[in-house]
Amino acid sequence: MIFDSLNESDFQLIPRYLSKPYYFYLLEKLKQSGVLTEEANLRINECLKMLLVILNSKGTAPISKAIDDVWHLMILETREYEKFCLSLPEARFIHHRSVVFERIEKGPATKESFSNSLKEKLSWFVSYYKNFGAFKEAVLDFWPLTKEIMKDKKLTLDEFNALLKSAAFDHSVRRTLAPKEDNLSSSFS
Amino acid sequence: MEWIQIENNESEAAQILLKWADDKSNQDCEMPEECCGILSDL
Repeated sequence: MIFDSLNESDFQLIPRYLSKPYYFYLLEKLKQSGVLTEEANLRINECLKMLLVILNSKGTAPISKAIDDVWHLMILETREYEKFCLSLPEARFIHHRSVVFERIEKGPATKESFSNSLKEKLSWFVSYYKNFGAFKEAVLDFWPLTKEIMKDKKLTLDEFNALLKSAAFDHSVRRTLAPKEDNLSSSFS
Repeated sequence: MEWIQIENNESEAAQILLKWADDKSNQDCEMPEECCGILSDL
């Protein structure tokens, strides 16, 4: 059973960041869509992880429609959503923007923008590992690009997590040459 | 929350992941639909 690997700590963000009415509203709306409680908890928890990390990212999150749908439900309760955003460590309102709007506004991706977008998503997965630990099998469907990377690189989940762990904890930061000698204090990227 | 920008990371693991991104962007220029993700207008 895919949920067997999970434990209470996998859902710890829910009582920490959601009021009881807000949580039970999400649970009920997901149940109305045919999502069972255990799966609903998992989706809500992964959505919370995404919202916790997104404020430090460049603004894109490589999640699935299932998690985006949880976010939409959260946003629909506008007062609770505002309170929730202000309860996060960054205490900032998190706006939503659709990928379709972005594409219409900015036009189709170029090779360079696509490459940058992929690297941004890799940063997401390393940051996820750093903040929340290894990806578990039960959540992979919510982060579909993880499966794409494992397939392309022929990695098991353990091997993929080992790569993320190494990138998250063993990293040495690249130093760039300062353009001017008096600018050394800002020469670290 | 801590954010790790992978392009600034010189670990061997990061280089393996970055090579995947370079290889992928040489093959395609579009993400599979289910991998598109979402955006926050920050």
